Amino acid sequence: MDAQRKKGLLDVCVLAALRSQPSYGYRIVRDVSACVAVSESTLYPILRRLETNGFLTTYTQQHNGRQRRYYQITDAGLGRIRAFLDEWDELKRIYTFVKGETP
Amino acid sequence: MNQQTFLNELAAGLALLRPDDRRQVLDYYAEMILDGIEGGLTEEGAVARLEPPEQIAARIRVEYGGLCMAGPKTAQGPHGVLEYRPEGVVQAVELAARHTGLRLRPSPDGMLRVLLSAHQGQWVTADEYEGVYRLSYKPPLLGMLPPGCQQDIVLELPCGFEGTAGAKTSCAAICAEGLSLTGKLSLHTSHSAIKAKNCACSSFSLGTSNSSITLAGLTGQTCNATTSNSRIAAAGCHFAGRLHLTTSNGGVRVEGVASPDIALTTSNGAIKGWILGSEEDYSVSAHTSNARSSLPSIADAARPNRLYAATSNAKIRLGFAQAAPDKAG
Repeated sequence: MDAQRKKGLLDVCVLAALRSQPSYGYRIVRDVSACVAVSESTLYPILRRLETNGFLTTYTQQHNGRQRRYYQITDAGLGRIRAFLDEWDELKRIYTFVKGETP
Repeated sequence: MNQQTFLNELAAGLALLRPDDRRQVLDYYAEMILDGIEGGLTEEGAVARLEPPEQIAARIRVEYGGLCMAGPKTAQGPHGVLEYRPEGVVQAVELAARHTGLRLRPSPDGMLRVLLSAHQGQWVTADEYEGVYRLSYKPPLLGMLPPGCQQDIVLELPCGFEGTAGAKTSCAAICAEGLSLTGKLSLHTSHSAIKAKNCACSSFSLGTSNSSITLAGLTGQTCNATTSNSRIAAAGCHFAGRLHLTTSNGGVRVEGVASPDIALTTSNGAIKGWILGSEEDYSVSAHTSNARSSLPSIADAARPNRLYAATSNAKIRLGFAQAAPDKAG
C-alpha cells in the first residue's frame, strides 16, 4: 500500500486503540498489531504527531513503582475516527464501481 | 544488550535533540522495555524486540528534522539570517529561486530549513501542503538590489531525509554536498555550474546550460546530468541503475565511475577517463568522427553492462580498471 496512505491509516488505528479508554505504549502496540504491523519505533512518531495535532493528550501515572505514560483520546480525536468511518462509505462505493459490480 | 546499554546508545544518538525531547524518547523506550519484562520477557529479550538504538536514533533525528515541534515558520537568527522551516512532516522540498546561487548541505541538528538574508525575506513565499514544502525566492530582475540580496540561499536537509528535494534557480550556481536522501535530488539552473559532492540519493537529476557539471563521490540508483557547451566531470560515482552524462561542445571525463548502464554523450569534445569494472562485463558502443576511439564497439547480449560513448571531432580514450590506475602509468 502507498506509504503516505498507510501513514494516515496507522494514525486512525492508534486513535481507535484509545477510543474506549486511555492506554499506554506497550499495549497500543499490541492492540494495533492485531490488525496491522506496527513496531514501537513506528508508533512513537505517530503518538507525537497525534498529540501535536490535538487528537490525544498524555499524562503519567504511577504503575508498579514507576511512572507510566498514558495516552487519552480527545474530542477532536473521536471526530477524526468518525470522519474516517464516513470516508469509508464513499470509498466502498468507489471500490464497487471500479470493480465493476452493480451497486 | 541490556537496558542500560540500549538507553545509553540511544541517548548518544540523540545528543543534538533538545533535552526535553530526548528525555521523552528515552522514557518511551525505557517504558517499552519494562513493560516487556512485565509481560514475561527477560531484559535482553525485551531489548532485542526493539530496533538497534542507532537505527531508532537516526529515524528520530529525521522525524525531528521534518517535525518542527516548536518555533514559528521563520525565525530571525544571528547576523540578520532568516530561517524558514516547515511545521509538519514533509516528504518533499522544492526550492525555486532566480539569479541567486543555491547551496544544499546536511542539517547539523536534523531540522530541515532554508536560510536567507533578512533582505531577501521580502521576496520569499513559502507554503506547505500535503507533505510538500515549497519555498520560492523571486527578487526583481531589473534594478539594483540592496546589499545582502546576492547571498546564496542555503537549504539544509536532515541526514537520511525520507523524501525528495528539488532546487532550481537561473543564472547562478548550485552546489550540493554531503546530502543523503531516500528519494530524488533534482538540481537545475542555467548558465552556471552545478557541483555535487558526496551525496547519496536514490536518483539525481542535474541540468544546466553553458556551464560545467562536476560530480564526485555520488551514490544511488540513477543519475542524469545534462548541460551544453561545457564539460562534465564525474569521479568516484557509483550508480546501481544508470549513469547518463550529456553535453555538447565540451569534454566528458569520468574517473572511477561504476554503473551497469553508462552513457556519455557530447560533440566536439573528448571523452576520457576510466570506468571501475571489467571490460568483459560491458557491451560497448563507441562512436566518434575524425578521431580515434580507444575502445572498439562490442555488442554482446551476454554481457550484463552497457557503455555508450558518442562524440564527434574528438577522441574517445576510455579504459576499465578494478582500482585507480597508478599516477605514473
